[in-house]
Amino acid sequence: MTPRFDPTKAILFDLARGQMRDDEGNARLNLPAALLVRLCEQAGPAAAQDFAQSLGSDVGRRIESRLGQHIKTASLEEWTDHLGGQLALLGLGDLSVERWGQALTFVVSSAPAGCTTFIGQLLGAALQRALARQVELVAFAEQSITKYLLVAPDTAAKVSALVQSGQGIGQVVEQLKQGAA
Amino acid sequence: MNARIARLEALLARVAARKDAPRSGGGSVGLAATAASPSPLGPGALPEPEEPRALVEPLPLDSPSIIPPSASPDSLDVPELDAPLIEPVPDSVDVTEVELDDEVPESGPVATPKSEALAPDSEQPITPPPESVEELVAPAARQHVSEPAFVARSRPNLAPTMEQLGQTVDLDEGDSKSTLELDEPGLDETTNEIVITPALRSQPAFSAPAQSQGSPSTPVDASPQIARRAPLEASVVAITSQADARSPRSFLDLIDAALRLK
Repeated sequence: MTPRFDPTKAILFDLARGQMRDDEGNARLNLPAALLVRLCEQAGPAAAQDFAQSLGSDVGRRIESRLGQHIKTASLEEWTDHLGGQLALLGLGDLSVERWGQALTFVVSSAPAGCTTFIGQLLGAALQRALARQVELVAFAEQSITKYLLVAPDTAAKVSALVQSGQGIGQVVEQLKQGAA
Repeated sequence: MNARIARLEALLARVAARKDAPRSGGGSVGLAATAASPSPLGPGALPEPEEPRALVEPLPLDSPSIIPPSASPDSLDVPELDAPLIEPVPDSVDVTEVELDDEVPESGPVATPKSEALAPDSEQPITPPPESVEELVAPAARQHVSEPAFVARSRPNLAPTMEQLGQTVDLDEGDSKSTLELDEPGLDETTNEIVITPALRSQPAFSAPAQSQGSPSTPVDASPQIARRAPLEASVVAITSQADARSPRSFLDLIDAALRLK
């Protein structure tokens, strides 16, 4: 049976020692999100992407360790449970997954401002680490949520162009479906 | 004993008075119908008697089978005579009339069950004369009360026949008939509603244009399937349906399918 996500003692606050640790014993930091966003902006896109992918790779590793042998047979709901739980532990919002026919969309709400690109890169890296698939997530920013359409790396440029032209996620998925047919 | 004798004398006096009084045939025949049927019938529905003399002959006290001449007043079978007198009878029924009814067979056809079922309204002719417009409308209106479906079937009769095509038709006459039908006394408002309802149904239905016609074309998969944390259901049926609704493919298969979109 596939284990469910368990957040018990995922973050340990040792106020006497002034430390934060995760369930694996690694040190954690509690930083203001706005400051971290500013740091990423000043570091440049490449450094921010590397930071996001590194963090996402660690998330993928954790999921892989939790799911174990079920990593490739786990269902969409089980993956949403684990991936969303890890994202929530990082304070990066609430995750849900939508299926638009053949397409997959990751929806993140309640995320800190300025983290749209960062979260997309983090999720892509987590999936790549856990499933060994080269994926990219193109963001469709809506009012209070952000939808990330999962595509292949060679399709990401085309989807980004469609997004820049003002097309919604439904129209983009329809065009991708016609192109795949 | 004296009271019985006095009662018998009073009875004899009444019978003698009846015997001397002039007889009306309608009342005698109506008596037979009353005895056979508790419900009184109107005098207008009774036929005239054909043999009034026959009503005189079977008077009860003149018959030796009722009062034997050799019998003294003490030996009379008083309970047999007093029984019908003591029992309360309707006001319209007289004791002598009851006795007369037993021996007047000519009133039988009036007291048949079919005649009993006739109501005062049913006295009208079943088939109305063709010249009478009101009589033609009234039975149809009564049918509308109990069977509104007939109203819809009768509407095609209002259409002109093939011979009437091309001729000038006075529309006021047709409307006056329908007005008489709706204003017929005895029809309540529900009857009017029943009559009107088929006409409303026959009107063409005007439906608002569908909003989907004016909307731009949406993709085939416009409504996505959202995967969230499944709530725990205690119902076995809900768990079964939930298990069936889950995707049979793994998350990795869905990833591979999404990557094939170009």
